Amino acid sequence: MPYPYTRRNLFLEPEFYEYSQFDKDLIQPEWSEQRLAFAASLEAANPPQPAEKPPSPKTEGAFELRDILSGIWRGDLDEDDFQTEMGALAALVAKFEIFRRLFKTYDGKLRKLPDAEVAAPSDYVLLARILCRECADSELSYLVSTLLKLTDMLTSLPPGTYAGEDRANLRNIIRDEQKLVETWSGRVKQDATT
Amino acid sequence: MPQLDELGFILAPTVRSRAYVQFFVEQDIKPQNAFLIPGEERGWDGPDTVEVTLPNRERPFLFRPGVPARTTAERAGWKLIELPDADINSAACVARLSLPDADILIYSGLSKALLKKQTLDTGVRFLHAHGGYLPHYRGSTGFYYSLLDKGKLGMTAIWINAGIDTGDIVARRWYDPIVGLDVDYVQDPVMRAQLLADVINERLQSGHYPVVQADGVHPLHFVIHPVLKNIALDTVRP
Repeated sequence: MPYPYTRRNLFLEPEFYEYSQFDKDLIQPEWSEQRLAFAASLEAANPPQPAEKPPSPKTEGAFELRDILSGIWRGDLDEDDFQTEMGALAALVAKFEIFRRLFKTYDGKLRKLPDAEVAAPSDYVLLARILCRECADSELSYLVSTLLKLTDMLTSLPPGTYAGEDRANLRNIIRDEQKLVETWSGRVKQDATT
Repeated sequence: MPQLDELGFILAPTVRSRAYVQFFVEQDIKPQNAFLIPGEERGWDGPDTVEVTLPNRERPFLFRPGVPARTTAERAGWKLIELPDADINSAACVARLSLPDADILIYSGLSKALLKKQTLDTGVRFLHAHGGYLPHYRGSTGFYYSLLDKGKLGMTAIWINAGIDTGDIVARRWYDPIVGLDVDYVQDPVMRAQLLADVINERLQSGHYPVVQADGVHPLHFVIHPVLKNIALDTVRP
């Protein structure tokens, strides 16, 4: 049986993982196989056609999600606008966990603006890159859990959704995610034997 | 048999409620009453009796996960009150809970049924055992995260407030996981039951409920992903 959590488009029909049931012997190999197959299919898929959509007009007091995420990634988020990078990241993680969707624009308190459009898959890829880095640098298992859910969402879309840089980043995310799961799995098994 | 007149229960047709009643009956603690949430009893296809070894006890607790809470409570002579609705926050339930019965209710409701403002405003204080060491492991799958992080299960008794697992802490304890025993339907409910019984025993002996100062503010741990949950469960697999 294939990995059960990416069988539908999770952007359209989100998964909330309540009372998840799984076969203990199959869940991890199925998950790994699904991820590696997706990474391989990124090579073969036709890239998407560039969108011709004009940029949305800038709203006063609005912050682009892309800019917030880029600021967190580079470590230069304007602290006059947002308290700290980790604070902003925690707020975005909470929004993702509760609603399973992010929006393209927020106000200075990271509240969704009226009529804000849903964020693009590319924005979720950047959030996943940030989580990969934070998970590698910390011992925060709950961020690994969020990363797994986020990558479930990203890999529930057709591989052709992603273009150039996002493809490369998504392959790296899948590689890092595999390493993280191996690390946690190894740690638990080691603790059990000592 | 010690009876604490201020104490009552809210029980649901769940394995957790079964553990609570069985543990309190075994400890010979009788509440003033117990409210029963209507609903179909959950099935149990495991062994009739499960031996659970717990800290601070000379002998294991013999848990019968298949015996409904109602059955155990009736046999022990508890005063049982049927709630009119499965929704604990419904107007009918709130009206019933507002009548002068127990002042403190140990809450063991249906899963995901959080107490809303109208219920919290009845004047009753709700005591809850959370499956996670607070304030560090907030969220419904807190103990899976602590199994991953520390190889231990944490349990915390709190006074319920409007936040998610943010109420004042009454008592908390780390437990070593028991290899070979189901976590969701045996270890978690029985460990919660023991912690609550210890709280009530302390109340009976000292006249006060214990208080624990929360150490810091910690993020909510959202529902754990199944791959990580599976890794966490490796800690209890033979």
